[in-house]
Amino acid sequence: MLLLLLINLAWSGPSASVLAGFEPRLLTITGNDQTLDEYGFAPVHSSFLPSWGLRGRVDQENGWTTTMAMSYGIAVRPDDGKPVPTTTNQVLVGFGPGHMLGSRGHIGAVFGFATLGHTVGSSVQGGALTYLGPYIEPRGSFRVVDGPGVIELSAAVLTHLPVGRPHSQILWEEDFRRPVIGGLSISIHAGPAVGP
Amino acid sequence: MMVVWFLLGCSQPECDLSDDGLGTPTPWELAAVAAGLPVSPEPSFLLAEDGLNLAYRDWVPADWTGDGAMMLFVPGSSAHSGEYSAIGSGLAERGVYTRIIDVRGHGLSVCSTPDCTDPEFTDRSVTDDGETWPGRLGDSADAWQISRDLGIHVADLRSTQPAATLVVGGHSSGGGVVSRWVEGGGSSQADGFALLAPYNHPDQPQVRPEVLLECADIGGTLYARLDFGALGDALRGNTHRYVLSFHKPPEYTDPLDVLDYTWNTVQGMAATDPTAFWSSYTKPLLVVAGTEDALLDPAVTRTQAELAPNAEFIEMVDHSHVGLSWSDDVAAELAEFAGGIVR
Repeated sequence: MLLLLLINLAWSGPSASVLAGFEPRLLTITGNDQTLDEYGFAPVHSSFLPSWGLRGRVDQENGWTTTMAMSYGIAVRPDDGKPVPTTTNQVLVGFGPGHMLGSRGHIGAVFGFATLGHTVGSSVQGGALTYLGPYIEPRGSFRVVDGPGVIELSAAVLTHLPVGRPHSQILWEEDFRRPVIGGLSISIHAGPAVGP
Repeated sequence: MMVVWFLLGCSQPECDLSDDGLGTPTPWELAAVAAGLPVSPEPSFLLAEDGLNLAYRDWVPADWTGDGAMMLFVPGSSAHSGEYSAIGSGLAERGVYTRIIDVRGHGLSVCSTPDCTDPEFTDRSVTDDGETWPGRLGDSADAWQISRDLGIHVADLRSTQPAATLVVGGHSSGGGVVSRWVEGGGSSQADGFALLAPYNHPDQPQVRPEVLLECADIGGTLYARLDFGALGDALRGNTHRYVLSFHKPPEYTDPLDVLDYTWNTVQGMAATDPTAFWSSYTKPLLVVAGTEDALLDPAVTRTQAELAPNAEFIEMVDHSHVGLSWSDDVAAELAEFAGGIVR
């Protein structure tokens, strides 16, 4: 804390913050569940994906901001009678502009690259479905605690646009394509901030 | 750039499916096809384990006394007994009692009703819905049912012609049927074996590389194309799924031909291993290859046949893969081999 205070006092440029937090998401990832079940794989079962992330933000004096963000989520979903659980993991990495809303509010959007993968298996076959492509995530946030230590609540809407086939397994007739993976998240982040 | 990279990475390779891979018939074969095959005897039927009428045709030599040589013969993939009348009649003319069968789901082995020669009693449509019934085109209950059917024919011939010697033979995938039956213990029930251009297993080494398909979603050969997606479904348990389709030129294709196989039948018409089955041929074995076979390499077939303990190999000059089934010269070789078998 002392170090943060010293950094804060010494900082003369725009304010900046690095926050880590819990970013649970509700994602449209259950659309292939029936097919997965027919293939003998455990369905994804739930839209809920626990995720954790880091967010760095630089705030200019004119109110404009730049955010860099990354997020990782994982879930393991077993199914009765199926020997292999289906795992879901998601990685988001991006950056984007935003603008301050008053002294504690903020609105912005992050653009970047997203991966969402399911590993699946049965007693006879297994593999992975990997959805790669760009994403955009508009987010509105509010700092409930401001200063050298920040606690921030936010809400975001994710749109991930997978490109290409999610698998190249020739023994699977279904391509398992998803044109859009959407999601909602309500997050809480905390971490240090420096600057005026 | 990223999107372009993805699109390039996911593009499918081009695949030329315009050829059937069977090659061009030789001049005498073209003439034989144009002239028409010999007339076949009327079919007869044996009852299978599931009530299916197993069709067959017997070519009985004019002077048959019951103590000569017999040949039980299995046609190749998609074909039926009527297309092997040159072999049947050629053998019978040389004194060999010959039975050529319709494998279940082929030819006339497609119904359980009393009158299986009436087209109204047979459904020749192919619907890939996983449903199955005795005699469904190109289908069987399990991977060994075709072998058990062959055993029914062997038992019938043994009981009706107890003094005769029995050679069991097959052409192409019909050879695969015989090899699977031998592998399963059938060797002791016959006195000899004959394989014409045998397609014993999809991974056998004598399949020529130039006819192998390496498409994104299709494998096998140009003639017998394996749908990988359907195969995946079959491997997940839907063994009545049609996975293999045959692509024959119209001049070879008969109205009774069956051009789609389920996974059960694909397995049932092949040995369980590409090479291990050869050691099960403990009785005399004749292996015949055609010099003009576009599907199988005769030289490799020869080296494969040497894996059997008692194999004799002959090459038929100017014979293609299918042409072996139209040849009186092949019938003469088979008759000579069968006549030399001692029980």
